[in-house]
Amino acid sequence: MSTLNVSNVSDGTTTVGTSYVVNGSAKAWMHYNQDTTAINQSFNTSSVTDVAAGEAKYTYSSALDAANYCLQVSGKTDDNNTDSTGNRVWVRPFGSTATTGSSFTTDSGGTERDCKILCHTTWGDLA
Amino acid sequence: MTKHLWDRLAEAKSRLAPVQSKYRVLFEDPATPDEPAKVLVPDPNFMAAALAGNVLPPIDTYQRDRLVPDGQPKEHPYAEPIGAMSEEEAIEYLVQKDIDPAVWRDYQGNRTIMKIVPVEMIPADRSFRNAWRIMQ
Repeated sequence: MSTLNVSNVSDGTTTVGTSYVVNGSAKAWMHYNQDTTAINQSFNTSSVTDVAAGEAKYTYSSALDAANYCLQVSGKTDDNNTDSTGNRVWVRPFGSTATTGSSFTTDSGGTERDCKILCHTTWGDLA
Repeated sequence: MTKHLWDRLAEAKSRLAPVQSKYRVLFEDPATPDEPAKVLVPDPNFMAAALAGNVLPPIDTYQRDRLVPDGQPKEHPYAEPIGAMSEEEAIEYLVQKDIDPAVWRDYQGNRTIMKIVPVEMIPADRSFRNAWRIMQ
């Protein structure tokens, strides 16, 4: 594989340092089905742990430098828009360390719910 | 100089087809005995990298990095990658990497708190997910 070693990227008008491109990329992401415990697509994750109903924990292959990075999670309980309660779920980050990030999902009644579509993205600095 | 692990993973993802493991790791945390059993699902891209070799660092680098405080340099990103593993070796590697040593190394009780099982043995019905325990 070839490597381009450049300090800046330009479209002829606007120039940006490659460090912004690299540092601004998501450092890990995953598309996961909690119902079937299947990881559909991912990058830089070594596993996901089905902790309990509605709770998932992701472990990174290449760790972040500290626990206080940005973990963004979203999801829904169905994949065909038929679950009206499930379309009002609250998916939130549920703790993070340099090597793991967790999410927790409840519906509007406070009941833990598994998401058929659960997406997780991590932004921050690598170790 | 060895490339950063993140770069090696990106390069591996671009050339290796994901591998869905036929195994899951079922475990209970002895520190929280009231919690249900947990199920570790191997990542397909991680499995592909493990089976292909020359991507992942030695497992002992991850173990030493557990003791390194946040913000301090870690060993595993720039460690020399190791060779190819079998699927079973990859699962053992994953257990040591992603599960607390209190489960797989330090536990001295009589209860079975960890099992590597075929994926078919994980119940498809999640109605009582929070009551799952490892059968003794």
